[in-house]
Amino acid sequence: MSVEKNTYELTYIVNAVISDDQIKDLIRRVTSYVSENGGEIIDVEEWGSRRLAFPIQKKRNGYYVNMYFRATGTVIARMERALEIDDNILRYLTLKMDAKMIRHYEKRKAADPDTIGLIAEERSRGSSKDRDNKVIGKDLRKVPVSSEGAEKEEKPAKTHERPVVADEKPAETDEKVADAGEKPAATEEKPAEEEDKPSEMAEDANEVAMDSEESSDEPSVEVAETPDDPEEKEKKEA
Amino acid sequence: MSRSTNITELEYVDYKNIELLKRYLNEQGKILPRRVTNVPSNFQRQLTRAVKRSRHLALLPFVADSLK
Repeated sequence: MSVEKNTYELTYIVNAVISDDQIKDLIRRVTSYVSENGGEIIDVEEWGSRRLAFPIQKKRNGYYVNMYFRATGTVIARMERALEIDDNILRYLTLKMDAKMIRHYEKRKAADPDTIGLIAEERSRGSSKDRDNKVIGKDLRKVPVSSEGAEKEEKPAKTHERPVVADEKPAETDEKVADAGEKPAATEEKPAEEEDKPSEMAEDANEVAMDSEESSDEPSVEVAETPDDPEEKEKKEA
Repeated sequence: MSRSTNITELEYVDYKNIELLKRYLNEQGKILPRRVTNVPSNFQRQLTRAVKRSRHLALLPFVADSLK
């Protein structure tokens, strides 16, 4: 078998319902099948469990494995047959890599964070969004002026920040105006920033509670005093 | 992240790059025609192939109520 070897890329989806050990075992079996038939494994990337874009065999999640190897063409047909027979392999895709694909792969490999493909992108995007929200939340309460710089970076925040900043400038001078201004701003933010809304509402609620305590204290004291008054008067009279 | 520079740099459209592919799909997950995408024919052909590979691996839907 002195046939020329090609570079292949194989991506397959393992049934995510089976146990982790079984998944690992299956991946090991596929990998060793290739290597035992004269293939050279270049890389095996496990993307892990992902939600499928549509159900396959009534399963909504799948464990993705992406591997690169060099092997002769005869291995592929037998390997694909083995994958087809295995019930725990939902889908597979084998591609023969041409020069362009190999260059693309090496470029992707060189840029380290991108190596785990899709998963890495999603994670970084999700976490950055979370961070942005927290920064916005702080800006709103403590430093309204600095939030102007943040506007350029955070597009979704743009529309929501402006009214709030405008409302908070009078807040420094007059507290009562600020209370009235913040309430409509909080209602505007409902769809975008869920974190900020309850906290602002809570602040408002506290202030309202403070007001009500102050106002309720006065009549309660009066009520408490009034029954005392006749007693004291009686004592004085006695 | 401007689109035009991104495309010309790419010599291979990867089926794993679903963020890129999604830009060329409509809400239902259909591939947009070239008269809409306005990309080179070579890129459009690679795109189409990549989307179809992606769909096979359930990375992209064949039909969707609302993508994105």
